[in-house]
Amino acid sequence: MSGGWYVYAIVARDHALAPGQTGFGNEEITTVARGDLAAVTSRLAPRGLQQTTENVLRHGAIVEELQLRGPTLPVRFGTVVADAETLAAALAERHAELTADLARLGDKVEFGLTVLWEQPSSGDDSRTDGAIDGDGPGHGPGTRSLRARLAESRREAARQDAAKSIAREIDAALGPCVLDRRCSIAPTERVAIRAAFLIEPTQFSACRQAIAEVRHQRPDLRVLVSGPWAPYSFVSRAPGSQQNPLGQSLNVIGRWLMPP
Amino acid sequence: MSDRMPEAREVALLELLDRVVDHGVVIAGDITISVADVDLIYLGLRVMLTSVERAEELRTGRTRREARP
Repeated sequence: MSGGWYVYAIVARDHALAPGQTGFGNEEITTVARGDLAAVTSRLAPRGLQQTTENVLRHGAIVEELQLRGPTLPVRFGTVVADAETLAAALAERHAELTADLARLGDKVEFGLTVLWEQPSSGDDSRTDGAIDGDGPGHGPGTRSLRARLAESRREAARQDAAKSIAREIDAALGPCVLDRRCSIAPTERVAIRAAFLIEPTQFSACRQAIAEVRHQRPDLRVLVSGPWAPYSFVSRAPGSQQNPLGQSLNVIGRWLMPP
Repeated sequence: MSDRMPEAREVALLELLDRVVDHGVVIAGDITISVADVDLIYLGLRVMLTSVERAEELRTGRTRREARP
């Protein structure tokens, strides 16, 4: 990774930094302001940042520290700009959107929810609708293939319906605590729901209690809660920004917890 | 299943990693995460969560699933 200015978060111009706080490479954390916004940043020497788990966690810890001192928008890990002028220009370019996001999200937190389930064994139900192996009309390889695809399609629809039903149960349990949510329905065979919920920080305990009730009512599910985190999942996407290949990493957890 | 259950701390760790790497504000211009860099993070995840062999199996499995029409 080349040198420049590493960016941790977007805050209000008058956001107070922790005295003596340092970032990567022990460089002093400072701000670059444009209008009423500021980017929290520190100098980065050429090759000064390794893409390691430890550094990703360090980024997260710095954002958390900032959030304790006032409204904060977390910036994605690995954001480096060439110089302060470039950073100020980037703030100016998305000023209205970032200002709105800071007002909407800056003092909120999110928590993560992953619901794992045991799917019934799919078995070989390709022989539906009275299908019989044979060489006659309607019983050839093409027909069998079409029937298998139809059966798979029906299984997938049933799986989606079941996952949506779980999502509704969770929504009902959480009720008005939730300000916003991002939800992925049945993203993999082992994961029924992957969701992030935006809440007021004071509501986290109430949400955990609500989820505990869901666990009690649905012992067939494994419901994992994480957080609270800075509201990473709810910031507005920049035009043209791409999802990182690591984005579905939690699906790995699902398959690991409930192996076939 | 319980013998494969990771510590809650590890799940939380991966949840945080997922957010920090994949979400958050994107500043226009000089995003520097490359596919090769992300692979390094994958390496960290492998060590943290499970054996290299198991993680590789999971990744391969995901690739197969994503490739399915």
